[in-house]
Amino acid sequence: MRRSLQRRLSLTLAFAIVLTGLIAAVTSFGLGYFEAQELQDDSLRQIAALVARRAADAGFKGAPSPDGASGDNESRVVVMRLPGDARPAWLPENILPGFHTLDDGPERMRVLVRRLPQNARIVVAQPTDLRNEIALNSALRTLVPLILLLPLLAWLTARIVATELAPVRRMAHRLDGQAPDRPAALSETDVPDEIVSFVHAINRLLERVSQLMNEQRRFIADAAHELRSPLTALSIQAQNLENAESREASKDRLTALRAGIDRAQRLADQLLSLAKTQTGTTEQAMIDVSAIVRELIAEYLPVAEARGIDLGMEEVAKPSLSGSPDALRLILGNALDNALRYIPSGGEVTVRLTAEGDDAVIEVADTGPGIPASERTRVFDPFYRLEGSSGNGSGLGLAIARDAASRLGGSVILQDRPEGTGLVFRYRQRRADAN
Amino acid sequence: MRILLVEDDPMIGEAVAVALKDAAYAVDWVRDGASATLALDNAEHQAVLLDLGLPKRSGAEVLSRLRGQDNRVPVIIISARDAVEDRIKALDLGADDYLLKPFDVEELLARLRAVIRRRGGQAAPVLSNGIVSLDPVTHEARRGDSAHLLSAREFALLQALLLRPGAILTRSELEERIYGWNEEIESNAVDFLIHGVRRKLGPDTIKNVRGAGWMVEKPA
Repeated sequence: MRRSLQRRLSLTLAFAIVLTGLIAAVTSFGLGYFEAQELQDDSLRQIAALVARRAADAGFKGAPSPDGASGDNESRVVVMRLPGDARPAWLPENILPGFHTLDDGPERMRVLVRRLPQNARIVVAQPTDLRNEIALNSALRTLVPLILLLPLLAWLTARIVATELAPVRRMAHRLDGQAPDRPAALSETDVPDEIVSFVHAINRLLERVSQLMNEQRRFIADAAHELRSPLTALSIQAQNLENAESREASKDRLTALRAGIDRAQRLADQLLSLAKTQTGTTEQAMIDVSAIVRELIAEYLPVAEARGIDLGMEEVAKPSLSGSPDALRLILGNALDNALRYIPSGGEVTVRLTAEGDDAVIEVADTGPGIPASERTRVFDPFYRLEGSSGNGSGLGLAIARDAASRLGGSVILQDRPEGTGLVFRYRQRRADAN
Repeated sequence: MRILLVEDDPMIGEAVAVALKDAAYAVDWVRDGASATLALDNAEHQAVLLDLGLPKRSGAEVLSRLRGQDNRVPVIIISARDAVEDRIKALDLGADDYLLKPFDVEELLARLRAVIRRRGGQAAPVLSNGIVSLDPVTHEARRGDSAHLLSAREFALLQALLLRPGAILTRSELEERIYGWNEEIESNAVDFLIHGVRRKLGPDTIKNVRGAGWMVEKPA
């Protein structure tokens, strides 16, 4: 069930108001009722006092007149002056002076007995039904304003809650209206304090999202730009082949065209690898590192031999890693490809497997010209190339290696080769058998 | 006709150079901005094909330096940058044309002919001195009713002469317009080419001025 804050607030507040209203109503009803009864007792007392005085003055002799004088039912009061022990049938014997409620007569009566001098008594009586009716009526009148106010209060509560929550609704509306490709930060003005921290969090998220979007946009623009170069080469190479006049010339030009196709193919492959490392699943398997390194060396040996480079392996430790073997293949494959592409022929490339503490370290060391320290971070950016390097690489190799490394939970750095010139590509990841 | 090609991508540079040589241009190919400036300072080119994203000195810098020295050589930008601002900036810096990669070789050659023609103050695409006419597109030379197809180098030679009828060009000037830097020039190559042209179009097509060089006659 969805929890609407506004509904819940409105409901609980309305409930609280109704409850307090009810308690107030019951109390005021009870008090009103009691007060009305008291008031009527007072008037009985006054009647009695009046009658007593007049009796003393004029020797008034009242006759018992239980059915009262006039027809006004609401004011039906019986007043009797009883000499000695005389009494009507409904009045009990030996009744003490004061107020009594009598149940035994034809109807319930409220009776005030007052003693007079000369052994006489005055009895003032009133039917309780009547009294109760009067009390009830007056008590009910106290309830009227309360009952009229309750719906007004409920309506006001709902309005106030809705108004106070309006900024939240407006914010949601603004968020909904955002362009998905360039989200803008939400404004913090006229946002309640309690929600500001929430807005901050949303804004931070939006900022990260738009940063990522920018990176992606730039990458796509760069990729489109990079695709133009091999395509340009291909289109001219094809035309050159068409224009070739001799057999020998066509052969040369066909070779150039093949190289162009290889280059376009490689760029497409690398773009695909990068997309895969960015979206691929995190496969968890035990990786046999030395087997993978041997496979890769076998794969790159023809390239190395063609370029006159001595490619070899040095296994100091036999570390085992867990993760995706394909990711590790991408990391080391790109490192080898770079080493074989950029070092002069006659050089040496060594893949070295070692362990440092809990980490496995795989190094690809070459005897090439190296990379200046100031450039060692930037070369990981997609399509970044060192000045003066031949443009036939895709410019994506290190970016792929870095992404694949972070998927495996490892890290990649470039270092100087400790002995002589050259570059060391160093991949480090926590060993699977580490504690 | 000698062209300076400034392109850092080895594959594109190689391919464009081949295409230009096929079209009888002498090509000097450099791969960075600094070498481009050096080449422009030290040799005469009839046109420049300039990439914008270059190592050492950007294409825009090369161009503005070139125009700053009042060098009027026609420049065609060949770039993968397709933004309108890039094109506007390059043209305002003094480029004569802007060609977006990837481009068609035929289009590149046509634009090259166009900028060279405009720079020579000509409107008609066909070069002529009233006696001989030369079509830069087909490499066909005409004299009277007879038309002859010239080889790439014969064309380059005759074109160099027909661009400035009446002017005497020395052997080295001719060689410079026919051969790129890294091309080997045989000692009697120019004589051999002149012989070929005269054989096709008549001995008086190209005049030899003893001790000075060669020329074609000015239009009467």
